[in-house]
Amino acid sequence: MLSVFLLLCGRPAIAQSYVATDGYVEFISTAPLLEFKGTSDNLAGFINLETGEVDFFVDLASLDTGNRRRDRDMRQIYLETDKYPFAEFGGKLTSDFDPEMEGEQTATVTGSFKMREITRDMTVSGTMEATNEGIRIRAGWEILLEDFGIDRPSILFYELSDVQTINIDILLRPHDEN
Amino acid sequence: MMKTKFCLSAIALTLTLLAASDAAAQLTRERVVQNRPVELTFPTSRHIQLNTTEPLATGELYYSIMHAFGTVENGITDFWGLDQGANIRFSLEYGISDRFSVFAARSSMDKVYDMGFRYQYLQQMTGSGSPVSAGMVLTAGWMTEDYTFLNQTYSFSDRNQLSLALPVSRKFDDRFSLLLVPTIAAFSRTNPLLRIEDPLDTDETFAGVGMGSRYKFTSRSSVTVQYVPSYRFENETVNQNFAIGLDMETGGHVFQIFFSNARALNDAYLLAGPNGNFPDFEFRFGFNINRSFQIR
Repeated sequence: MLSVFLLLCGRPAIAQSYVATDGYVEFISTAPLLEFKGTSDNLAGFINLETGEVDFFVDLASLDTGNRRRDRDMRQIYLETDKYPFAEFGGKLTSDFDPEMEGEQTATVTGSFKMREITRDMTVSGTMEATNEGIRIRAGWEILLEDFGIDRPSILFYELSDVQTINIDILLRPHDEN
Repeated sequence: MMKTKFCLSAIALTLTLLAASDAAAQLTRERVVQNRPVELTFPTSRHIQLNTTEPLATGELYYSIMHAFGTVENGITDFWGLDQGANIRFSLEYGISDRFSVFAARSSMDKVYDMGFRYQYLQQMTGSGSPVSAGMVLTAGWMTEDYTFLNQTYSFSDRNQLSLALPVSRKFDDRFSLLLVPTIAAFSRTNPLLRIEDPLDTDETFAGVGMGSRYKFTSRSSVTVQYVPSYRFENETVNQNFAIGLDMETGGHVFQIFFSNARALNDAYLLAGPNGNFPDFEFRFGFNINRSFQIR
């Protein structure tokens, strides 16, 4: 009986989980002489509405800036994606979210962003929206490249900004449907 | 007893399931593409004076300007060769596709114009696939120097040169890359008074296997070396070229400084041109500036 009870308790936790591996992420660099962005449609994400846990990551080698030479430099010289393949953000939802409510709801997550094995704590704000397919999350925040040990060559500082704006847009679907 | 055993098993199963659902709080980290091309084995299409396997991207315009000054043997008298003037080669190369590019160049020594193409036919992969990258560079050149001082007639057909380089490279890890460049070159006519080392005035065909490597000691700086033994078919002699240098990558630019015992800056002259003796200070300072633009 205890076993059945525990199982029944456990099931709603799984139903409260949403995941996806096809989210969109962009890294925007706005330097005095050049603005460009690296984009990927391979953002993976997870949220557990019961515990509030969130987890996102992207394979940095999948970022495409539209310039193959720049992509090669980005992967091999700056991000070193063979050694440090992922950018990750994990944390806890600190705002309320009502999955029954229509429209976008403001959401705040407190957690940490990790890149090149360097972790920085941060709080990220965005929106969450319950849709027929799942939960759509959109958020944006900024990071400094130097915070993650990425040294920009001084001769290039007019072309590559230290401040990178990260925007994500991902539709998370119920875990048991994936 | 049986009932107790069943209950314990059921509880264990349940706890396992709960643990599994907790584990999902962090997604399994998986790379999007497991087997990727090995990139930037060398930072540019040139490694000191040798061609590399590094292809251009589609629509990429690559500009390089190469210099090789006079020998340092006279010291401050001619400022270690800088007063002697440099052989300068500037070239423009354009990526037709991600594997095929065409180029045109001009070298000041013997006023050589050359043009050709670069094709990468093998790409080293991180997983299964080719363990090396390989390409070919075919160059046709014309010497336009005024040879009136020779009191000989040099027609257009006497001034041609052709070279084929087949670079093969492997990036062993983030720091160390190796390059082999079998090369053959032919001249339509040579002359001992020209800058082609041919004392018997018989050589027209030269071959060699260039060797190069680089070791990255920071994320953007590398030590480079080059050795090119070249064989002269008619004379049956081997000439030795040696160079050592430093590569500095700045993102858009790659600066290469080097000391070499050859003044040559294109493939044909690298095999056929004279080489000095390093112990006698018959080497020279040189540098290359490489820059890429994405124009399409």
